[in-house]
Amino acid sequence: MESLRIEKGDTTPRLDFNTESMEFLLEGECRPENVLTYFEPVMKWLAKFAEWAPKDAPTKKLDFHFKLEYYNSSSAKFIFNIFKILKKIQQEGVDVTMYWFYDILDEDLLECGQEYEKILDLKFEFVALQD
Amino acid sequence: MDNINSQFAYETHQLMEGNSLRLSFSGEFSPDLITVLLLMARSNIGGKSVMKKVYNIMIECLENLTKHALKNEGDKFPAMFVLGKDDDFYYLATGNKILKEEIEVLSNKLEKANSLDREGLRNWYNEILMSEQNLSNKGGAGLGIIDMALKSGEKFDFSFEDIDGKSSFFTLKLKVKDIE
Repeated sequence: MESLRIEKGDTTPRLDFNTESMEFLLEGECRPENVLTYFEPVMKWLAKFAEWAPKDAPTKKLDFHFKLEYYNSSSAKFIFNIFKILKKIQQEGVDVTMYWFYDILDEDLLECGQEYEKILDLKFEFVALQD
Repeated sequence: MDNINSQFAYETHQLMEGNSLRLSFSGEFSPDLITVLLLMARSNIGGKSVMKKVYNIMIECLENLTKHALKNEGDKFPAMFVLGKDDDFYYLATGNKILKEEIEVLSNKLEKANSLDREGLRNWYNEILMSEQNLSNKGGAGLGIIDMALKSGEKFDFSFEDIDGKSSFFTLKLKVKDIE
């Protein structure tokens, strides 16, 4: 299956979902002018990935590097839906680890990650970044 | 424009300084303008942890203005934003016209947010996050107000002033404690 790559925009993050290495990355700020335009293709791709990965992925292990410094409240719902798909993949035998990066000064972002961990029951590793 | 003279400039300056205003804008808010205001705010807030909070709340405030401010034809100043600071707090305030019929839903939501403690706000946030409910036609998920309340840790101060039979001017003020 083809990887999904989206370059960073003024208000959108860099996205790199690599199906060979099974390393996923979201990096930067996420406050798209139109959340549907940004996320709809991503969600479509993920739906196919969820079918493919448990059977055909080169390794049954997926590392998600969450490096968003900021996401707006309208993106939050989509991010949650991305994580829900990862949860589903995990239940079908792929070992998913979420690496949640946050600025050591940004306690709100850490708290958001901890909430996701609680709600989703996925494996989270929290990585504090020093300025 | 006759009253824009040197005295006007001085009075405006005094007004801004007297109210510790760091940044203010009145007009029509667009995504490009948000980017500019965010850059300006960054240089005004400093590099502490409070900066993240103020910056994040500010984005949410400004996005609300682009999404929800009512703009009648020929209206040059549909909305305003102000960032202020005194010894203890940063203040963020927005003002925009809205339709009278929107007041009830908005005011109920703000009052509910003010009535909840942190855990209550978290639960409410998670409830909306996990619901299958879709985005509103303005692209909002309904999480913005709760998110701002969680980040600020303080209560909303808000009011609705009558403009005419159809519309009101909605002001919203939030503060964030400045922690050294």
